[in-house]
Amino acid sequence: MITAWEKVKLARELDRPKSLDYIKALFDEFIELHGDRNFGDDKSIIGGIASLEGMPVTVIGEQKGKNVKENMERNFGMPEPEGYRKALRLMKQAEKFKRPIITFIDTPGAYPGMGAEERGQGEAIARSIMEMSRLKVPIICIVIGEGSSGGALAIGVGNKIVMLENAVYSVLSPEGFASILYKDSTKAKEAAENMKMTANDLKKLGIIDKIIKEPENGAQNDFERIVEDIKKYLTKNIKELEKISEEGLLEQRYQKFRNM
Amino acid sequence: MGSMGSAVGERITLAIETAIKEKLPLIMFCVSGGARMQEGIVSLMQMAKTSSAIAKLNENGNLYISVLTDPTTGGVTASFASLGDIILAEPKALIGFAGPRVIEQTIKQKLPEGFQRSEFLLEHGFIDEIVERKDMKETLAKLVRLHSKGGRK
Repeated sequence: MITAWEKVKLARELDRPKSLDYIKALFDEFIELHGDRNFGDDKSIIGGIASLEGMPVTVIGEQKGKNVKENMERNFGMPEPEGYRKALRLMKQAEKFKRPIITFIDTPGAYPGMGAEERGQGEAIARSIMEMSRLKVPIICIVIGEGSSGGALAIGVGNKIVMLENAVYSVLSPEGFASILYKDSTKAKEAAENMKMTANDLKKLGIIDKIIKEPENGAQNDFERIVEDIKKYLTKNIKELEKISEEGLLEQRYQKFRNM
Repeated sequence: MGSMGSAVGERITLAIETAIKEKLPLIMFCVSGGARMQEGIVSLMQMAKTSSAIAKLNENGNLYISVLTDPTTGGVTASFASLGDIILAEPKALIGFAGPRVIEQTIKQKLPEGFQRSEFLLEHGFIDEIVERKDMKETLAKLVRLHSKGGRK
């Protein structure tokens, strides 16, 4: 049994598979679409149209890098408002063409910079959460690594929420938690154990629907099997969600979060 | 409202659902540092719960006025506080997603005077008007009146 803090470290490993790795492995085709039609193209969120065993789907993912250079380009997976606005634009497009939406969550949080505040980071996240709650297509969200703060939830309002076994999901990072509540950011390890942020914790709390098993030393050590498991879950659940009426889908999503 | 944990999230959601049921306008006064850290993931999910209820309120055609007071930050800014049909703020209120200290630590420099204050948000297009507390009642009354058919209630 590995500790919560060990899971935090596994979730952050540089060679852990990232959104683009899953997208390439899961889908037969993928075409990336760019920009929020307003300000720019945020490279820490990718999005586009893909084909899941022949079925068109819209895919959104927070993208971290696997080395320093990639991480500089991807801003360490910390989106700015235009990233969330791009994601929302593509999700509304999915609704227009009746495509299911699949999101991959992997972020240390929304970027806390001056520009992000000037362009309305709070508003961008709020709008994404609100609009996602009313999209008339099935939505499945998968936390593949680090799910932290409103920056994760902004693309996390789904009919189903899945976590990889060593992924973590919480209101903020253990370092942030320790710094605010213990006034000492070096107590992050202690914080992680108390935060109930592991997949098992979230399953027990009824927040997530499914845990995808990982080998103890992390997803990169059995990537093909994990991709197969995710693919099986997605095809089965999208098929089931597509049988539900639009109203039923919205009500299921509403009640899911209403009861949290 | 203090920080938003499950009790605050539940009460706000109940208020929104009551407004929908009774066909009433909703006015929310916000003052909060954000999600309640001690409750972890459950407090994060209150952002989704309250924002989903606001989405229903919108579909139902109810007026929603959000009034931001000092301070309104974090998960509250990133949910219902930013979703009003009309957003008012009191003068000089601190309003933002990330707190000023976190931003300063990230960019390793001091923030300029007035950053993330109401006047800054008005200039950047994120609030409709700054209203002093002594004028708030009259402003809200006028807005509610203008949203009832024929200008009458």
